Amino acid sequence: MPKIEIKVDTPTCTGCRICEMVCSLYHEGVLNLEKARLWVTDNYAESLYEPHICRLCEPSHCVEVCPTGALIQDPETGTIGVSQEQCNACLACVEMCPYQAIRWSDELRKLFVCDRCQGQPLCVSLCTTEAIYSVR
Amino acid sequence: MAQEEVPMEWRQKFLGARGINMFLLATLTDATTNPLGPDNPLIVGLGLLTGLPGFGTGRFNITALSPATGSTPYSGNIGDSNVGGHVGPELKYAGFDHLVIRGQSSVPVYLVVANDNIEIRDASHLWGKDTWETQQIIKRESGDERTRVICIGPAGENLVRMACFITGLKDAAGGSGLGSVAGAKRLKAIAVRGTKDVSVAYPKELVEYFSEQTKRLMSQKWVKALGYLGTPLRMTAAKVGGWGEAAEFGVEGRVEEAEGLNAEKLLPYSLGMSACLGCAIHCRHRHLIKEGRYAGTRGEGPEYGALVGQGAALRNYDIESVTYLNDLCNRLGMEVNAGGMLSFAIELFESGLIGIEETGRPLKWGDRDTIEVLTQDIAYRRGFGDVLAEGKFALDRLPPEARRYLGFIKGAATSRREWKTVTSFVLSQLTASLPAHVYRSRPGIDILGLPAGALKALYGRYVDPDIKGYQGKAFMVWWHELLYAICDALGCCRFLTVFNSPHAPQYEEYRELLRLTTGWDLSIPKLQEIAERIYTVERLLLGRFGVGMRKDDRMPEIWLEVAGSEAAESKAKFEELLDEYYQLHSWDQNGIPTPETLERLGIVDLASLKGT
Repeated sequence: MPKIEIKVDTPTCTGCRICEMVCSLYHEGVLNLEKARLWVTDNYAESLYEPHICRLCEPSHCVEVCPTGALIQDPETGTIGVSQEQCNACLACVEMCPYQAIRWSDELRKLFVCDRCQGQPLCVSLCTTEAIYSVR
Repeated sequence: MAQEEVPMEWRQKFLGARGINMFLLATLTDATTNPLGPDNPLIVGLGLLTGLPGFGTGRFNITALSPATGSTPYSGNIGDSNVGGHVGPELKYAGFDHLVIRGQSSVPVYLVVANDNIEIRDASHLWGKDTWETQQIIKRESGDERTRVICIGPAGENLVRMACFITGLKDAAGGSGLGSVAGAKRLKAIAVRGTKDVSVAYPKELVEYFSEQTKRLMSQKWVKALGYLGTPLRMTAAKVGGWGEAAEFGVEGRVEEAEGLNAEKLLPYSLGMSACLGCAIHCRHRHLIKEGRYAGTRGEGPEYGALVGQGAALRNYDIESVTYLNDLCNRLGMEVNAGGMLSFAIELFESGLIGIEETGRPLKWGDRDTIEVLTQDIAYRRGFGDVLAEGKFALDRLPPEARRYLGFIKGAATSRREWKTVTSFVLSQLTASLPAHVYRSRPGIDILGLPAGALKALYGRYVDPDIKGYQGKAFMVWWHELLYAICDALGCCRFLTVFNSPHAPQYEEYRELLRLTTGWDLSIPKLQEIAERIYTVERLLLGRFGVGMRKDDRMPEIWLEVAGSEAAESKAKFEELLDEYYQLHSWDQNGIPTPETLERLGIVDLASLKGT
């Protein structure tokens, strides 16, 4: 899988959350927006939405700040691999991510971060306004 | 408070949402239930697919007896509102499919629904707040922006008979005055947060099918137009297609002035589009007016209904004013044009039937200030607004001649403006199971100017391509009634089925979605049988309120007046259409479901609803 750079065009996000729906179904086998590997925040009063997804930063703030080595960046694809066993839930990565793209589930005690769907990101292919789009 | 599993038998018979809601309404009420009393159940019902990947699956229904269309101020009629947004799916994620709210609180309350749990909380601090403030306060208090809220505004609190629910900035559950049913219960809002898993039968295949269908949809021209212009595109389409009527063009058919309300006129104010959950089409504008008198106006919409209601129908052709008034109605939790009462009041004033002594101010067409003040006065029941807040029951407090300006279909008020020259539209409004409702079964395909062959390919039989023709129109209405009943019961959006295009998803696609999500492989005839059952239960309910017979499916006098010299022919032709329509439903020639039909549909136990 090549490195897939994904960008976000916030003003065009409609808040449909199809990205979260398909992401959780594809990866977790259940529909649960909280278990998606990207997420959309919203501002009710201004009717604005903002997708948050891993940008494969190099160097990666999340990897650098991780005290246990639970996060490893793949040198080829740039994606962040998570060893849930090694994670001590300090959430430093969540705090450091400039894109708010890495999420922690209290319920599952698990980190969620985008893995680019083995080269065919579903969110990109289903974002009809291209609020999330890829640059190869 | 009690929680129960939805019985499988209900699912098999009615699927969900509107279907199960109507069954519950039929069994939990009777002809004496006061719509504004404690016994009227407020039923929130999700479709079987609400919140799941599908075709506009952000939708659900709120059902109760309507306080707006009964024969007296204390008697009910069928009430039902279909609404989108994010709160319905959130309820699914919280583990609930239906909420049935009964009784009446002595103090304002709101419900907090979160993952299998429901709590009743004090809403004293929310009472009096508009719908936007209410949602912001609840979100802030919950500490979670993803808490979704549906609530009433001042109009619902003040028991205005045209009050609706609002969720988000503009998604409204309106049309039946159900906001006042919540107001009577002192139920200000329902706040929902859900983080539970929803399991589906075939997750991977569902994602594949959804992706394929979404891409197919998005490649179609009508979808692109809807996503770019939103529902206001109908203002333009009506003119181009030649089926626009008084409603689109203003009371006196002011076509030129109405240009100011064309869909394209909204684009300078649009910040982009916004969507209901799960919908790729995104048909509503996010607007901001930056300059001028309405500077700072920020919200969503206006939809086609507001452009007509707050615009053309009031001869108000200022798009900024219409946008502002649209937001005002949403904040007050009231239908645009106060459900037509603003137009009605101005018409009475202009005709001299009422004067300043009654209204306190002159009422003039197109007077933005008066429209704004009167809108507020109705929501807060101030002065003359208190009279209009009663909806059609305002007639009891107006000169007797005022009756000439309203017509009634199954107890719902309608005006001259609502007359249309499209045969299928008129028939659908006359027979709609939600009294006089324009969209319950709107058969909007013959207005597209398609050749007879294309109509035959869709309907499987000849349908006259002339919008004023009669042949096949009863079939069209029946066919759309059934399709939309299934669409609603599944929680899909009507805009994403055969409503704007013959190429939109329908039975075959619904069938596949159902199979992939639930594992339930229902045949198309079986789906049509469920639809027939839902529609027939609604017909029985209409019968309970004395408006479910042939006499109730006829045009009101004021429409026949507009039809003028064509009225006599129309009357005769519509009788023939009704004959055919009843046969299609297997109802008798008086429009009453036969015992054999009830037996076949397995709803004999509801037969006692017949008559009054």
